[in-house]
Amino acid sequence: MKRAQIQLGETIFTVIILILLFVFGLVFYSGSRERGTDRQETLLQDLDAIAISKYVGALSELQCSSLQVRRANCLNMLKLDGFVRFRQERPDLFTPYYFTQLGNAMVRVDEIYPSTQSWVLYNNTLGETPRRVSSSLIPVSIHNPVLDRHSFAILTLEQYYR
Amino acid sequence: MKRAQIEIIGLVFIVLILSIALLIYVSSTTSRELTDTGDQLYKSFSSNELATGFIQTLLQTHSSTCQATVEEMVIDCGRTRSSLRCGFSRTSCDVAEQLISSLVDDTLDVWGMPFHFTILYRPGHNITFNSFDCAPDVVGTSAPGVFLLPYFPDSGVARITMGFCS
Repeated sequence: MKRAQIQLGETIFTVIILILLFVFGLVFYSGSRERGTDRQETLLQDLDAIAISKYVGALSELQCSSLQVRRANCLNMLKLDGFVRFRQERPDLFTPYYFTQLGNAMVRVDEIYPSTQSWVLYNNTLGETPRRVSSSLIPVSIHNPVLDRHSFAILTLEQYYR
Repeated sequence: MKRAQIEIIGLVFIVLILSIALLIYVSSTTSRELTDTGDQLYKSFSSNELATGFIQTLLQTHSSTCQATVEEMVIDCGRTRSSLRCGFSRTSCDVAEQLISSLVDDTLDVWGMPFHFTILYRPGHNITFNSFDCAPDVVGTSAPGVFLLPYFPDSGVARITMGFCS
């Protein structure tokens, strides 16, 4: 083999090694970026679940009020009954409006003390199995305005992502 | 091109590759640290939301035994002259403790969340609930939700604290 051919072989070998190093670096970097992006996405989805459950807890069509002053962390039992009835009787009006606010989610209020009772306020699950479910639990008080009693309940929000 | 020039170009090339590798490593580490900080902030925020929401809701809850809210029972328990009578010679302190214990069992214990909950009526008189050995001084405990209930017109306050361990 001539000297020039040996030098050419060396150059080609070096270039191949460099390309391999570059590709490995790129794969490692993109994998690391992807993992970071996934974690950030999860974090944002969890924060979104909290924001939406706070939004549901602050809906004026559900929240307790006295002399036009709203009370935080409190839902009116009669308003809950009315809300559920409206959802069941007029899905044509209910679903399009609340879909823009809540998306693919399930919102439920479970009374824990003194009695046990549940209200499914919104249920719009994905047809297919969701890729991820982000959930949020918020303790809320349910006020019965007839008896003027407060009970202890949990507002559960499950948000589904494709 | 002379041999020395070619060697210098090769050296520059190697330095360039090492610099890029270092840059990628630093950027990846920084990004991971930022996400970790975000995770911690989220945990701290959600724990605090849950703690304050739990205490707020608990204080509003009516006891069917005492015909009073937990807030009224806690204040009554902490005052020097108790006025609430809860039937069968039970005091507001007993009923409040039993009610809180049952609510905690039905929620936080079921969810498997390590928590600590304390009502300090006055120095030396307090009740504490916790799970999984979670205590305020355990490393990784979130900043607690704190509520103060004054014993007006008597002096003093009841201090209610709740926090979660990671």
